[in-house]
Amino acid sequence: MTTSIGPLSLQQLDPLGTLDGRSITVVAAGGVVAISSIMTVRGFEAVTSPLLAGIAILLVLIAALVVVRGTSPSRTSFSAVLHVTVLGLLVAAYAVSSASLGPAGSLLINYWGPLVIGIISAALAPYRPVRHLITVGVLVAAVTGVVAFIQSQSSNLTAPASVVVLVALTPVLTMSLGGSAFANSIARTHRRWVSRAQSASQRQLERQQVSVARSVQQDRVTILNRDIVPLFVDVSTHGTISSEHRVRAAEYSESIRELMVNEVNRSWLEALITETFEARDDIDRVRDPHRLAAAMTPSQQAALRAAVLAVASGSELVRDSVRLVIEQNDTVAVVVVTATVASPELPWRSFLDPYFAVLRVVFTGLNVSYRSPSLTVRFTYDIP
Amino acid sequence: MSIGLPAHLRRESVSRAFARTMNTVACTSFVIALASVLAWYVSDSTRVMWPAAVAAILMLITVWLMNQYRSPFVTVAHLVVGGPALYWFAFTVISQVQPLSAAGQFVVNLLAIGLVLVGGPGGTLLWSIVWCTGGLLVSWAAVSLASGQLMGQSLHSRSVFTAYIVVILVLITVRASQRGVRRVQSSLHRAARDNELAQLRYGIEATAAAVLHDTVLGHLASIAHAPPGAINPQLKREIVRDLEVLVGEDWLSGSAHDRADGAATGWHKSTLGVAIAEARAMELEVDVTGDTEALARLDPRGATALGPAVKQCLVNVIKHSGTMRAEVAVFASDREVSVLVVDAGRGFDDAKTGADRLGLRQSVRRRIELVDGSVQVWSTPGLGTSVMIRIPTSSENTLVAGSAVE
Repeated sequence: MTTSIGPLSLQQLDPLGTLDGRSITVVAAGGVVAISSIMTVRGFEAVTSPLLAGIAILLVLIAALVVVRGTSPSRTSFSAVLHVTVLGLLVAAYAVSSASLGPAGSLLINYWGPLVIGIISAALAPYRPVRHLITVGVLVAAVTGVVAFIQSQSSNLTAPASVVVLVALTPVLTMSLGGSAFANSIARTHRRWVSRAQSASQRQLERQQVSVARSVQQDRVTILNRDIVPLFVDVSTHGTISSEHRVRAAEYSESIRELMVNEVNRSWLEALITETFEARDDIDRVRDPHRLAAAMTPSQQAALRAAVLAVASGSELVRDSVRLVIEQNDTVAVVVVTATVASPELPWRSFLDPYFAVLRVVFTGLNVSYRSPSLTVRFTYDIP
Repeated sequence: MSIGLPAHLRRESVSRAFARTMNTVACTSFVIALASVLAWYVSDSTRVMWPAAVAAILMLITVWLMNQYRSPFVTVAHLVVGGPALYWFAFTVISQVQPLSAAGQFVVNLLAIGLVLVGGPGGTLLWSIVWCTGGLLVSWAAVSLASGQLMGQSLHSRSVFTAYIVVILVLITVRASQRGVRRVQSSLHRAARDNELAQLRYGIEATAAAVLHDTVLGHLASIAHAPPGAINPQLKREIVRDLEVLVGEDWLSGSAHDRADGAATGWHKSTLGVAIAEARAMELEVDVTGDTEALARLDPRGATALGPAVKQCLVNVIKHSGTMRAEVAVFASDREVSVLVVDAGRGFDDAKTGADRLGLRQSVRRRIELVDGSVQVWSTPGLGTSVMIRIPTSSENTLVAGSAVE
């Protein structure tokens, strides 16, 4: 199995751990709205433009909503554009808030600006690659320092401007770098574990190869011994071919060929669905006319296999209603899974959210739509 | 399988990551405090700021040591050195920066907060809280002592205590949040193992199907289409040989692959050489050109797959092309060995080929894809057929395996 770990985020390396820690991100998003609102109200006597102060809080609210929505397990991975957008909105909020203050406004009155930028930078650490986190963190800290510097020019501050700038960028820089250190540490542990797990897995497969080969061979030999070996022995012993031999040979050839054609045409996904849902006669369960299931990577296969097994063993979806279609769209395969939900929304969502969190990092463009009682899950993957 | 850490590693790795986070935040705070001290000195060089700078550097060194050696000893050392250093720092800043202002107080608090962030080495939540509380008490004592001596009141602010509470809350949340996904994580890792096993079985079944296609199905077709009477001696020999192999030997085990090293004994005895000899025995005229020595670059799996695949191409020439002449050309690069089988027969239209035609799909394409190779077919009705088989060399496979481990 080829597993190259490039610049991946924790969300991509450990989607379930990230999902588990999402509550911290959501609390942080709510917290920054609360902090900015409370601190603005407390320092309201220094505000000369209530409109700008209101706009600043609105920008924080929008950024918080984007964070909550963007980190949802039902959505595709958190993108660089979203990350920069969120932090850009917060920096803009800080700038607008600074503009709303008059000469009496000190750095501490709207210190919530650098604080909320720092908090959100740390909260988003699991969602972007380490290098990206550090780069964006340092840049945003620099911009925050510039805003503080401009504010210090128009305010009655006693400290040197350089110290004011350092004070302003402290929360941004410390929390951005702290979040990056967290993500980097987990990513390194993950890398070491993957390396060890692959070696162990390879050794295990090598041990199993002989027994699996013997089992497959035994299956084939049992089939051969029933009809074909007696025919071959008969023909080779007598040294002649009779009409009866010819008829038997044609008959066996036809039945073996039919078996082999069916086997060649059956993908791993069809085999899995058939066995898991015990639906041997239901040929519509999986529709894959272009034979694209084989193009999934081992990680994609494992994630889909885990989700299928979970759905089959749970009671949240109607087992017989699960259908899977794979279609080709240029260079990508589009998978659409449909099912009927058998439980209220909260239970099935909490049951399936971990699997969606995994599917969205190994596949692209995951989209979950629900119109009671129908659930449709759509995702794509590259094909050669 | 690369998706996620197993449950037994998660707790320790999250604990270690959080320790690194605290150390990084502390380190960055100390650097900013040091920069602030330098900024004050630059703005007024009559200020004696060097003791504060030395204190900040000392704390940077101990926090760096704590990051390198995550042990209670180094943490205690950090607190023992950090307490006096913080006192020294606070004393210098309070005495030299007049008026102290919010910025001055902030910088003193920055160092105090850095001292609170020492909960890293705690193996358990309780120990982490104990370490952080120790850091809070030491920082409170140091700042209170300095500010009490110079100002007659304690400067230790609420922001340090707030930082302490936030750290404790995050510690509790991070530890508690690692419980919910264990079941799903286990099922994910189990699915990965099942998938690997399924792939192994799929590969072996595909090999078995290819072998049966080349042997049993071929012989059945020969018998079905043979005229009644004495059996062709060649067919009889092949049936007897294949019966012995199929019923009596481990024809699917890895040892069978290991034997098939075409390089060791020259290309004529390689699987490709044997395949061509067998096709010639069926009265097909086969011209071999190119770099046949390059077959030595194939690993046993590749060599094992190549022979039967080429044999099937040559059988297809005999059965379907209407000509009894073919050419086999061998090319090679560092990365792959390519074998081109060409005939000038009647060709075929791929779109009109029956879905039940197994030879090219099963015995050639699937077999070669199992060893990470590829097959391309060019055929035009009336102008012949060319089949290009590409198989990665053993060095290429080693490279791929190496990159997978990385």
